[in-house]
Amino acid sequence: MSLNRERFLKTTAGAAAGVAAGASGMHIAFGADYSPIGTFPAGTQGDSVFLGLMCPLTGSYSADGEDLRRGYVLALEDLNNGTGVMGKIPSLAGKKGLLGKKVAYKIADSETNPNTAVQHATEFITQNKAIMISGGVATSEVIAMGKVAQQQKVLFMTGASGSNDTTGKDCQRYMFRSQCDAYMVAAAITPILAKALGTKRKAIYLTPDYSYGHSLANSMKEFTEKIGWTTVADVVAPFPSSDYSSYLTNIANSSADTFINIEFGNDGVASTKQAAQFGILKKMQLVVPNISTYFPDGVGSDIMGGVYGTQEWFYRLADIYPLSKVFFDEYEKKFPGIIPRWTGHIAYTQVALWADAVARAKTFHPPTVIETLEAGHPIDLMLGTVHYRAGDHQLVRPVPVVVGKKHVDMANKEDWFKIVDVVPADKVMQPLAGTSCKMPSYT
Amino acid sequence: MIEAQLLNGVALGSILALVALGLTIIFGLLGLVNFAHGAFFMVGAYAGWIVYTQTGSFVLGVATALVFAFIVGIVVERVLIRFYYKRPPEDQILVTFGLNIVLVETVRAIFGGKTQLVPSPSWGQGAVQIADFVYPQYRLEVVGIVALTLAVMWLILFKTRLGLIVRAGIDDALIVNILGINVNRTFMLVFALGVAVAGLSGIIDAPIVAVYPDMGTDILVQSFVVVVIGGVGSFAGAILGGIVAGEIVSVTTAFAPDYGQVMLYVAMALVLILRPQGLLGVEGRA
Amino acid sequence: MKLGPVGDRSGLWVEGAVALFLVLFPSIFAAIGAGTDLATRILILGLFGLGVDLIFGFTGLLSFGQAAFFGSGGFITAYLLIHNIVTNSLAALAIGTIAAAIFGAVIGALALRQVGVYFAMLTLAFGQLFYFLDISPLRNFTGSENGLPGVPKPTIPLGATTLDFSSSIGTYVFVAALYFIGFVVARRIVRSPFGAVLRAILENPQRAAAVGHRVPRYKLVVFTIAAAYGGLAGGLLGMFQGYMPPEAFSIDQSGEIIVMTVIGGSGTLIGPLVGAGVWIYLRQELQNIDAIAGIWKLILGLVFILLITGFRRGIVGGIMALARRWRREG
Repeated sequence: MSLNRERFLKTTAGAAAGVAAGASGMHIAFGADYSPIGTFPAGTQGDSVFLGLMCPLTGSYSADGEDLRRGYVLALEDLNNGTGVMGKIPSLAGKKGLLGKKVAYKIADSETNPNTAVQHATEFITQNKAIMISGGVATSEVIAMGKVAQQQKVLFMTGASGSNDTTGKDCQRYMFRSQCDAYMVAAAITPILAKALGTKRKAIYLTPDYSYGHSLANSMKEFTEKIGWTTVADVVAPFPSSDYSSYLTNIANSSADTFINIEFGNDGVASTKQAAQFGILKKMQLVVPNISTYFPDGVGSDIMGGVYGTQEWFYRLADIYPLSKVFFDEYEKKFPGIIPRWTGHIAYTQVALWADAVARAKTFHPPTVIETLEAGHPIDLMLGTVHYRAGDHQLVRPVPVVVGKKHVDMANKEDWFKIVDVVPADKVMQPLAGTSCKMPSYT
Repeated sequence: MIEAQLLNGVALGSILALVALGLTIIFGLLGLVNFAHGAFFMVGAYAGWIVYTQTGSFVLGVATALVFAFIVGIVVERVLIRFYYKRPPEDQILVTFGLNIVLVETVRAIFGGKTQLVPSPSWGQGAVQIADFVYPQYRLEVVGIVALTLAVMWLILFKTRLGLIVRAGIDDALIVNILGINVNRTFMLVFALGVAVAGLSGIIDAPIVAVYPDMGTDILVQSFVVVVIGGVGSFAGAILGGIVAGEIVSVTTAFAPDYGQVMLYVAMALVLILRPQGLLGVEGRA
Repeated sequence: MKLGPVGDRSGLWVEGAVALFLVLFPSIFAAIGAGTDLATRILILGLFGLGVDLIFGFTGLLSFGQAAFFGSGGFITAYLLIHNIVTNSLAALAIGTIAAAIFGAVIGALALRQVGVYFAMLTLAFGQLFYFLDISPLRNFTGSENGLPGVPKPTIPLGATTLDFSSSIGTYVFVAALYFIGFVVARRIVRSPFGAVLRAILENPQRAAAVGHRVPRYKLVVFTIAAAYGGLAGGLLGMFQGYMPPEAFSIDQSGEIIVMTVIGGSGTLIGPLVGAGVWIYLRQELQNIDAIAGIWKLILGLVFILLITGFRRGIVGGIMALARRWRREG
């Protein structure tokens, strides 16, 4: 609200007043005279604007990419028709498209490869005059595209990326990330673990040897040790691996009673299956802090039952949040028989957050849209009220903590989890001072 | 704990040996290097997974993987590979490399990219106590299954008429032809046999690893290393190479996890420098 | 002596044609709705492919490990520039290229002890070795799975002023100039007595050895040169996209550059560029067809198999064969 008023004042008061206002980052443009930047205004002059979307449809994250793709398809359909969750957002309600324009898009296969992601992103920007780009399912893809976005001055709403770096040392003025990072995951799950498992646990970690793995493992150690847990060992395995027997031998024969598996994606599946064969899951409580999209499908409910972890989003949140229900129902209508996963939720959320900011800014002008996002106007979405934080462009949002269901308790074949709690944002956000984000400039 | 790590090496090595055996049969007998071997491994895992999921019987799944991969092998050989026996090895590599892409993407188009559920069979779920450490029962059973398969393969190749013809056909296809034996059909069977072994390895490994379309890539590269270490075209070399590779990875990772994979390639380089034909290879093959 | 397929008659018309093409390339691409950056990317792969063509097309050595050089040259160049150890773009590229050449010489010395499929498997394994080194033990230098963001765009200090190539077309010009130099050098190599020996090795290594050529040395030299091409292209990749990805080391990268070279036509020098152009352009366009989207790779895989089976010479080789026949008949 305050932002709109501010803008209104500036518009009427003219240039001099605008300069005098001098609020941080407000020096770019004001009123209707938005100076050309990136693909603006070239990309907004027709009766439609264009979004470039990158989803890995081949390579090791192709299933996640497919889910991401469906999320975008639904989001854009809803946006252009004024239906679904989009129709429930005050700034978009009752409207079709955005600022009177249709929102066109193309989806390209990023192949789980940052080179390809960058190639498509660049083509979308230079050839299609994309006014916004979005996508990616690995932090490497996302960081690479963030770089492109910053160079080209085009907004980039990230796909799936859980690394602290995305809104930390690799943060960009033009990049916004909605997924919870490693710090938030650890902050959210630890109190739940304390309540469920007690404060005297001895934890052992299996950590993939890459930066995301280390940041999540370190965050988990930091938080669990604060509640009284001891860390028996952090067993580091190279990335990628397919055989974990050497590491699991050490884990199986350790004195730990809690097995915290940091491995992600197919590595997570392989290591967990092997841990079960080593008898580790009988001896120890399994915790998977960040459960990847198709992890439960790969290990099955026999293993999932009783496992603690977090989900960026889970369809059962429809019981808690009305907009999650709307999202779920609309998705079911559009893609019968398929239940959305959290990557699809990210896709929809990011398009919605951007569209809302554009609608409220009343322009596609990227710096103005960024300012609008940074202003932190709260918006109701599938996880309740969320907003972006100006300092690092991390979405201020709650984190759902879940526990795996046993087969007999599952209502359907994808009812993998019971939601233990949705930990509110103020309990999980990393203080801004703790991030290593030095936000680059608008130009 | 070193005993446990040594045992890990054997378990890991036995799967590698089986995959490498399929590779080395095809190469040693047909002179064709198969870059699609990892894809056949994956196809076996998927074929087995479908039947295992439908029937609940892992044994049926294994049988299906074996038979299905054999049929795929025959089809691929008739449609494509047989035109390549007379072409330079580089062409053979390229066409099987292309075949690898096609097989992986076909499976992805049909089943999607997600990880499929292949649990341990009912008879392989526990862990057993050995001396002062516990060890997965299924891994021990895998060693047994591989040993049995290797024995059967040895009998086929060295004790049957087919094996005799195959080996003779490799030495001198013309003479064998003159003797009225259909070398073409023999080649087809050999190729299919190698593919079947790859498919079998896939389903046997499936309860241990993640089952998804790209699952064969790593195993392909590692089985190359095994073949190089053991000696191209050598039956015993595939087994020895598999065990050596498995032990190198397991023992190195126990002490310096960063270098587990790296050491494997260093070992391969050492073998090449000291004994270019591989540990059990014959000079001049390849 | 039979000379290679590249313009037998001496003269500079091939170089001239390539130069003209490089000047027109962005416009041609603009006309078919593709961007300058895509053209730059194709040139980078074309440059990488020049090395692959030298060892495969002209010498018959099929290496599945060229990503090792693409990656190491790229990461060294990127690291030097990001940390301001070297500020001159050309110097950083030169160091990356030389380093890749040294790696090439070492790996070549080992892998070239073998021939044929054995060689292919070895190079593949060495490629993987580099990949694992990049991801784990060297993570403090390479950024592991996240790679190295923040590689500066190319600049050349020129006395008081600095030539700035940071715009899209500027980067294209920079890359195109280096591609042109790379092409001319490669063409000089294949047309030199050295190149003649390479072709003799391609046709019959035993005979080449029998007439007194020191075959292993020739192979090692050309393998090292190819590695240098890979390193230079890798360095350009990082500068071009401002980011050096670990995937530069991947097995897919090694495979892709071979596929491109073969599709374009190996043994033609220009083939890899054409192959990269066709492969990348098709990949982009196929995905725009809704019914294809996720299966574009399956389709290109089938096309590749057909090409290997039926049209071994690739696009450029095929066109040249047609042209020769047309000349004979006309």
